[in-house]
Amino acid sequence: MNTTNPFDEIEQFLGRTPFAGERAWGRDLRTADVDVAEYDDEFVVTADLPGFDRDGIDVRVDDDRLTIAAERDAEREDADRRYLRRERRHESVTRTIDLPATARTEDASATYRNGVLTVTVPLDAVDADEGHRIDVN
Amino acid sequence: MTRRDPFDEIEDLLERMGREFEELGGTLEGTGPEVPRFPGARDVDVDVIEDDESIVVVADLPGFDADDVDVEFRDDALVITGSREEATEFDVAGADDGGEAGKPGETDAEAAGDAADGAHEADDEVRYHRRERRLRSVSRRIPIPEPVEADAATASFDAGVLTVTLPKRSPDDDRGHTIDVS
Repeated sequence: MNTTNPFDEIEQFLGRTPFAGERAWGRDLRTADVDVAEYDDEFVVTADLPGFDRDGIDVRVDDDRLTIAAERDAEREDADRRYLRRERRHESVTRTIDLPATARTEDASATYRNGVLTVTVPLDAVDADEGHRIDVN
Repeated sequence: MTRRDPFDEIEDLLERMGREFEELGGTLEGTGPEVPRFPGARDVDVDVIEDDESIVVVADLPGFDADDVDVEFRDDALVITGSREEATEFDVAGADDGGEAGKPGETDAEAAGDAADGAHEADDEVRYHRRERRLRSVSRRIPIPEPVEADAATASFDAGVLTVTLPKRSPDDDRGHTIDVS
């Protein structure tokens, strides 16, 4: 199932050099940094979305995929407003995350605080009795 | 069908590396509005905007409380620090951290740091599919290229974004002290 991508290994190696720090190479500006954690009973997606309005954030589930979209108006530079540095993301961002099959998406909840969006999706318990039983005839 | 030549991929990578290093050079010189994004070269992404009256520094500090953010003007530079004593709820040292990490770059150092702090629900099984967010304390020093009235600076913090406004010093002040002629 897991074919090793030689790129991954090279990037992993590079990731340990002092130059790269802990960030991956070639960071995509149109996406958000996320943590995705799976606990026994819930699935938690945490996304850094600094500087958005709550109204500008859209969270939806489609076919076991969670999509986070955040929109904002681009800031403009004009004659009397010059950017001396411009490192922050200014674009609208989207990010899609696969949810496990046991996700109870109708019970999902989301909060936005201090520029961090947290989406919590409860998971159905996998019943050991029910799971992989095969009747013997 | 068409097999990709692995050498092409390596060459692609090397070319990308070359670009990144060039960009790093640019970063070290630290000028120009289009400071390239060199991942890992800094902890806090900032914009610095100049208009007639002021210089405005905008910094992304997602996940920090206003109380955790410290701003200081010192030696013609703005120093921004965000301290996290620890653990947002999910900053847990799961047993699986190393193996499960979705991002190749995120490795030992950070995992170890988290491990030291991870008191949360040690018995609760957690599996990380991705860990891209920065969960450590951060700081950034931003040189301010013009004289400003540090005492008159104002700062606000909203939705994980810090905005510091530094009024420019009026040209009169630039001439230094006037000395009375008797």
